[in-house]
Amino acid sequence: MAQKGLNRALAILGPLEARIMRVIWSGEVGERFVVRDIQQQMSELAYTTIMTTVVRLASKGLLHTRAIAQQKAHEYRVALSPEEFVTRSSREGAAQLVRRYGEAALVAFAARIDGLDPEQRKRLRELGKQ
Amino acid sequence: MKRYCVLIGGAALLVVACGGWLATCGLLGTCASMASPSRWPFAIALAGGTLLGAMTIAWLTRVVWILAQAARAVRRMQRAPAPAALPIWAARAGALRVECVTAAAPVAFCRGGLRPSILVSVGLVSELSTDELVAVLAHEQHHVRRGDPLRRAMQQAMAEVLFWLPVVHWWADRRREASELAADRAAIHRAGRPPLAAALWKVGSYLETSSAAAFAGAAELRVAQLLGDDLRRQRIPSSLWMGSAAGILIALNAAWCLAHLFGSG
Repeated sequence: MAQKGLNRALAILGPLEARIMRVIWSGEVGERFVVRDIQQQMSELAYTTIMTTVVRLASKGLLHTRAIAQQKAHEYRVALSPEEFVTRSSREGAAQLVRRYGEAALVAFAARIDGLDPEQRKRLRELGKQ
Repeated sequence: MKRYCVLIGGAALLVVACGGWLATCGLLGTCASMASPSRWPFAIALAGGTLLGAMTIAWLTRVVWILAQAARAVRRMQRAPAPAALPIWAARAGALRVECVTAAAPVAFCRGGLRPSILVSVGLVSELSTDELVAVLAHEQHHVRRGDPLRRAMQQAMAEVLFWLPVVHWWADRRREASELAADRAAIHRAGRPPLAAALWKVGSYLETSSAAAFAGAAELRVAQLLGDDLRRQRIPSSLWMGSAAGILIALNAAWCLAHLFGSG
């Protein structure tokens, strides 16, 4: 099951991002790591290539980043598990579709219900359970 | 909103520039080539026709663009094998063309300008019960029957081209709400209220707050209709009337300016 989640998460990412996240998610580097730790696992890749990709992964919210005091380097740790990432991506994908196309030529079965007043929400929920 | 302000600002600047020229040309001696009063009717008709023609072309181009964008987005979606029971559920909902797409999120769409069809995600099929799915399919089938993707593209394009008439934007929003309410009534007729309520709850819960802002009003009305509450009658706010009146003035000014240019020489 965990392997399935990992594969689904990696399939969403780009090829290089997926290779790096596989190393990270499978625990081949420590809980907190620096770019050099990843490069030791992937010596065929240049340091700068890994660094650029890791920064991109952090900007996507997959990694937490923290500057190491009195050094130029940054320390990273995982922000999302593969399952959490898949869930978030699915939500974002659906959200993006609705936002970009739902209003016009794609007529979506979508409605924002969190804007309803609590009484209406409660009644809708109860009606749905009948 | 930013784009809207830029467009309005640009149009207003154009009118001010033209008005400035008309007001000062007498002093500068550049009015010599202006139209003689006898040619004004022709010049006004030509200017009005030009503006109307330009807006029609812009509207048609925008409609085609919206439909093409949606078609491209749909093409990018990976198709998934439909569950064996999907044709049975579709038949119950009266839906003829239903495709399944690979997406974990529970989404359903009606797409296609000339030959609409329904797309449901794998996530929707797995998340919803049979009755709920029938309700969603019946809702979307109503959109298919009415050709709503094309209608909406046309309405949205019109609201965008006539951006200087905010009342048109308001009208397009109300048409969208009315079509959603009609589709919900069709779904209630086919599947009943509880399955539609459950489907609306599940799909709505899945959408992020920011993503579905455009559907906020429709959600309120749809739920009110589902619950059998009175639907509030919506009136056009006076600010929209005033904004539209200002827009018409700007358009008339622009036409007047063009008429002078066409009438000259």
